[in-house]
Amino acid sequence: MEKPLHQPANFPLTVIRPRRVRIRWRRVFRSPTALIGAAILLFWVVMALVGPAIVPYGINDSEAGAVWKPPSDKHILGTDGLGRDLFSRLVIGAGQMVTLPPLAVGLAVLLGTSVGLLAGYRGGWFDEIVMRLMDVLMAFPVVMLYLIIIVAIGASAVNVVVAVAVATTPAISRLVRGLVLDLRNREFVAAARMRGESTAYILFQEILPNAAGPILVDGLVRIGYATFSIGALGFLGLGLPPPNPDWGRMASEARQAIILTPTAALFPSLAIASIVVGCNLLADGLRELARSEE
Amino acid sequence: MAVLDIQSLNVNYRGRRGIARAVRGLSLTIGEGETYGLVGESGCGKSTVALSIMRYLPKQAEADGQILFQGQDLMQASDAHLRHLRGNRIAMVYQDPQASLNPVLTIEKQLTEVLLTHQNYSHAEARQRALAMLERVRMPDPEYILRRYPHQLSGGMQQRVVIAMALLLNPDLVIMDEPTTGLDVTVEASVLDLLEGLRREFKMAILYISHNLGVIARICDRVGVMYAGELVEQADKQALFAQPHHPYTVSLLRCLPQRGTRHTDELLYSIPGRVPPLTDLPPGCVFAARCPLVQPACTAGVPALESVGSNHLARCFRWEAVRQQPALAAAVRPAPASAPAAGESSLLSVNHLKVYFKQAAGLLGWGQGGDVKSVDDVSFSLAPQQTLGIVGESGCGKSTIARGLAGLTAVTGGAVTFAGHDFTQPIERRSQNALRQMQMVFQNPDSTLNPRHTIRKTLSRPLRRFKVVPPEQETEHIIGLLRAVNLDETYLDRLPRQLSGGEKQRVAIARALAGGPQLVLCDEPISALDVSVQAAVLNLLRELQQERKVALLFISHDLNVVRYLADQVVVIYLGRVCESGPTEAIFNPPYHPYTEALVSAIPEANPNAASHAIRLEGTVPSPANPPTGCRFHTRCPRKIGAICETHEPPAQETGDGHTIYCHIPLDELAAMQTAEKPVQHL
Repeated sequence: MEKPLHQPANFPLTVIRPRRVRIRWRRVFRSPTALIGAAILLFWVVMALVGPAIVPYGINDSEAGAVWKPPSDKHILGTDGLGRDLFSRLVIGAGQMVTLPPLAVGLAVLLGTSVGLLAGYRGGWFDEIVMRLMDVLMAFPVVMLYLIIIVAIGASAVNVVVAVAVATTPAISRLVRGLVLDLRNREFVAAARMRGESTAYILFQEILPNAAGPILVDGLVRIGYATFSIGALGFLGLGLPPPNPDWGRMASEARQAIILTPTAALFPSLAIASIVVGCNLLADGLRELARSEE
Repeated sequence: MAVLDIQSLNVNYRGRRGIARAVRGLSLTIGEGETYGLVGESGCGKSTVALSIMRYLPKQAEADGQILFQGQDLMQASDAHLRHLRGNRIAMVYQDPQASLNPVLTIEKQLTEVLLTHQNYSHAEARQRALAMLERVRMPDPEYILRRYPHQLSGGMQQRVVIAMALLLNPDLVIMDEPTTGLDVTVEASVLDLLEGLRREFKMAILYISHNLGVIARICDRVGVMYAGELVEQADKQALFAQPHHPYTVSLLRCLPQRGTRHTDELLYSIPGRVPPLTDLPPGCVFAARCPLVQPACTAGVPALESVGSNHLARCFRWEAVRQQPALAAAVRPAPASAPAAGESSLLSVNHLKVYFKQAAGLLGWGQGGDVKSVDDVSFSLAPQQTLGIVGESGCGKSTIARGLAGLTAVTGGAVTFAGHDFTQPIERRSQNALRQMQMVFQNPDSTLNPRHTIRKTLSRPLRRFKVVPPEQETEHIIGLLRAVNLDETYLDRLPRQLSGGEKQRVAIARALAGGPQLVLCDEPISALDVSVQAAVLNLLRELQQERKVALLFISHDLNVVRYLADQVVVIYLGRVCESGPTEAIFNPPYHPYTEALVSAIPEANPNAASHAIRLEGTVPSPANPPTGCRFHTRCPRKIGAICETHEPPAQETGDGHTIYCHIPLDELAAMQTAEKPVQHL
């Protein structure tokens, strides 16, 4: 944490600022909550990375006769309705679950932050119009919004990301706008205006760095929601098309065998839940750390 | 038997940075009917003492020692017993009355609740008592007040309600934690009058906590001075103010601008350094690092609280030396040579400045959307290198004037000419050169610097924007700026949160000066700082003004400070000028009645100071609907009749550039104000 106090006189001046918006990972270890969350997420990321190398079966290898089998030595999590190995499908399916939600939320943060920054700082009619539009989007039940978007543009990885991003943007823009409304009245912003700084400088150098913490924590929670949403889309048959091992679709298909082999529905559901919980725990922990820092 | 007897109280807070030893070995007693003042800068442990008595300390705090309340140890008391004592026998009055009152209950509900919970009153009896108590705290029209909600009362009235609530059950001990700190001087003065009367009437013991020596001098019998968690001096009020024996007390008193001292005479005394962190206390005397009388012995051993006179304790090895005060006296620095007398040319001239805020009309256009006339027809001018002070209560439009001049708030009308530029335009239309000439220092040290920017970045930005130096000389220049505000290059890469309030404000001053402005607007730059730091920042402003030849527009509610620093003063009430002129003329009769009230409201750090009878009741009326005629007539103690309500007061000149806007002829005003004997006001 301690920075060197002395800089040599010929210190290069091109360095405008060190990256300030970063989670201090060393500090994450101080919060057990954050640590558990991070461990869960890390587990799935590792699974997604090494999965293709460790899975015992291909995702489409089906074993004749081994339909809806409970966990056994051969299939440690059992098999599905086509005799495919659930463990292999779950591990390979982790790939999309650790990439699509962050992509969707990343896109939403980009959109929502831009909208919120401008609306909050400009105010007036611009704020009115943009925020009312966001309210319209927010007024739709989320699942309905997904249905409309996916039905309109078709089910594919990109479209799922777009749908989730569109549905997530309004909430983020509201959050950012709220933060900006507070920050823009701070005296350091007045000082910047008195130097004749451009709006872009004020937004991105003076205001945004101070809003970054809450945006980051909120984004993390939203990655959890997005995972859940993508699971729900898969469950409704609107996720990635069939050969892909989609956790939501796996849970949905296993419904027909829920009495016979409850584990087939349980494991994909647990997998989705664990990511949601992981994101929430990490976000809570980070929030706690940020608070204790003040 | 003493009402409160605290014996060797220790309080530690467990935190991430280790254990903060917030209170160490504190002993004090308060007898019946006695008011004990606990004074010190922020972070010295005063409030922790109050919380320990009430047993309100947070979970991470550990306390040991004895707190005897009428002989029973509160530290051992059961929760049920404590509940009985709090409110019933021990009451507390906090700083912010708004936080003490429940916003959704009427005053009647809140007052009677105290009686109904703690004692077996019937509703009718409780109401009677509440009513009687409101009368005793001198509330006008108590029946009406009972039906009000807290937000319908002014800050001063709210604090009276809180005081009434505390006194309802006739407690034996009342703890008051900065009860007047958030109030305007005029309101503070009348609340202090009230407290002075009540403490005689009720014969209760009061523990009065304040950072303001002036308030302590007015209201207390005995005073304890706390520094970094220790009681460093304790004495009767008269003895303490007449002959302090601890260097910290001496320094605190010396930091205050004395009535009559001017910036041209001497620099203020200031305490170097800062309060040591309570997690990492130095060995020996805690004040040694900042003490002008420090000797090697001071850092070697811890001084004990020893008797230095009758009822007078001081925690200092060198109290005998303090009594003679040679070193402290030598610490007075002469003021730098004064600015050349102002020429005829004016740097800033403001004519009929108006700043109105549009009030939104009601839903669907119903209701009247009038203008809030924050600044309404204000004129003044400022010569190069001079200091203009603007004073007035909060809500008078002082800050709005500064924001209007700065272009941060749109100007509605009038003409502002500054260094040849038209400054009525909003900031976006001003040229970079015009912007460079006028910079601002803000009030709140916590929001004046961007928390995410290092000091280097904060200071390099204006250098770049105003093209002060080529980039390769930037660091050198920033270090120069830091040195000018008595900081050094070790601060370059620190973030604002690693700085104390005073240091942040110094950086803010350096930022304002970076572009080489001709005028710096200072909007209450020291009001959020501790006394010792205030003095240092004032000196700094004064020195820099000389060195860098800037003019200052200094806005403050603190008249002593304005009197010390300003060459010219403008007194503002409800967006209008009441009085303007050279400082000496403003602070001597004839005064405008409003100025007179402001001057007499200042609590002085001198127990023998005469208390003047001029008190303002009520608060500033709404600028959305200002009174007709003279705007001050609703509160004016010298109102002469209907003319004040119907006609705007004429500008009366005394000849030396001093103008008073009042209907009363100047010679009559002067006669009234000099003839009047100071009256002890209850």
